[in-house]
Amino acid sequence: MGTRNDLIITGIGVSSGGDVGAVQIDGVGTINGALSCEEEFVVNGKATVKGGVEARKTVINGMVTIEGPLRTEGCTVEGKLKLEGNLAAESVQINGSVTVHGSVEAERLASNGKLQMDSLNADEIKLMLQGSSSIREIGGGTIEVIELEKSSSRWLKLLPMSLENSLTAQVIEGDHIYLENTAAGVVRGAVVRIGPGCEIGLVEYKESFELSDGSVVKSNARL
Amino acid sequence: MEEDLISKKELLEMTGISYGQLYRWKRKQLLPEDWFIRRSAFTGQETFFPRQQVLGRIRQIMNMKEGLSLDEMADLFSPAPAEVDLSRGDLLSRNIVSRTALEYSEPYLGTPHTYSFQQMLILYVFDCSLQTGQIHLEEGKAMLAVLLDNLGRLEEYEGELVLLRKMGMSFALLLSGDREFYAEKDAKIALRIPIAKKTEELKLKLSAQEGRMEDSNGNEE
Repeated sequence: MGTRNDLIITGIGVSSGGDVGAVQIDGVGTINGALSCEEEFVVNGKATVKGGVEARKTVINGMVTIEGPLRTEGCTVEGKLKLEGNLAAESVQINGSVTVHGSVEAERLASNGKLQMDSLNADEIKLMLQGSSSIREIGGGTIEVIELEKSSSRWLKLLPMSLENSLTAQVIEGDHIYLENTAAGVVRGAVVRIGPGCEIGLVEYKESFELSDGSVVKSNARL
Repeated sequence: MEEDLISKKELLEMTGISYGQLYRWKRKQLLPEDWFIRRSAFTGQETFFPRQQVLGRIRQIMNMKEGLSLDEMADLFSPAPAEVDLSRGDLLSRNIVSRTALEYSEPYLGTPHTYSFQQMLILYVFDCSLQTGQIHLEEGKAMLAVLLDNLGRLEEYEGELVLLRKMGMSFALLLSGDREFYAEKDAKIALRIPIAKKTEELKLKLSAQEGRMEDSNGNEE
């Protein structure tokens, strides 16, 4: 599109980044600088970008490290994404593991896997836990955290590692909140439902509060 | 620094907005990041806001959200310049700058065919400072001159225009950023004008009237 050239790497390749049309990396790519893509940023395989990325759409199948922020409309991750900056997107779909050294802002975020980030702000948040996630602050409209299935891969239990599907957070704030397997300091919301496997310090709610068996809430208060 | 802060809980209670709205407005940068002040409280961490600023902004958002989208409002509140050029006639007929201020500015700005946003902002600040009645015309002109020479150096129009007086002498100062300053005790601060606030006011004036013009065009059709 336009006058910008596409950046295509098939196999193993290195580029210096810059302003491009679309990016397609099939294989292993190293980009030695920030990238501004008018179109899609697609990686099938492995890529490292030594700078931030701007793209209309971001599709990651494999493993990507971005040493800067990522700004995009739609973001799909199948595999692993590591960001050394903030993530700003319209919608984010994650199947795998995402680590962000910064904040994540989106209208919608749905994930199935493991998240590590400083803060998450989205209107609709749906986290299906696999492995241990940790997010310091979560805020938004609807927040739903569920443990999809009990240890889907039973053979993994043989390994001497912590394989609990859990979320750790300091603060969770939203209008409608449902949590499972979550350890949090404070949960604030209008409608708060605490499902099984939670350990919460304080719940503050405006309309209703439900607590299921097998979860601990140290104190709760209606505002 | 003693600031009047309001906790997030109190804010939601007072204004009746929801967490969803608050977080959405934060995402859209209707509420600037540096208004979110994190303090540790006995429950862990709590967020506080500068009371006057956040309540004022939320009132504005509530008033405008019928007519404007969140993105349009974000442009309005951002300290970045708007992209408009208006003629001298427009400025007068749309009541953005008074005729007096415009005439006094001529030796400095000349009589350009159209005025850029920055020029409009300079004129608007000049006009506002004259209309406070707290300064002389000559002082106003000094403020105009300092703006004209230095406004372009400010990052996104974040700064403050100050007029200091000491024993009948006065001079104008343009400060960049949101900083405190201290003058000697004989000096008097005659006037302080936050540029970002004026930028916002000017954008509001510009957009309100654009809206009205579109409306009236619509009615004619």
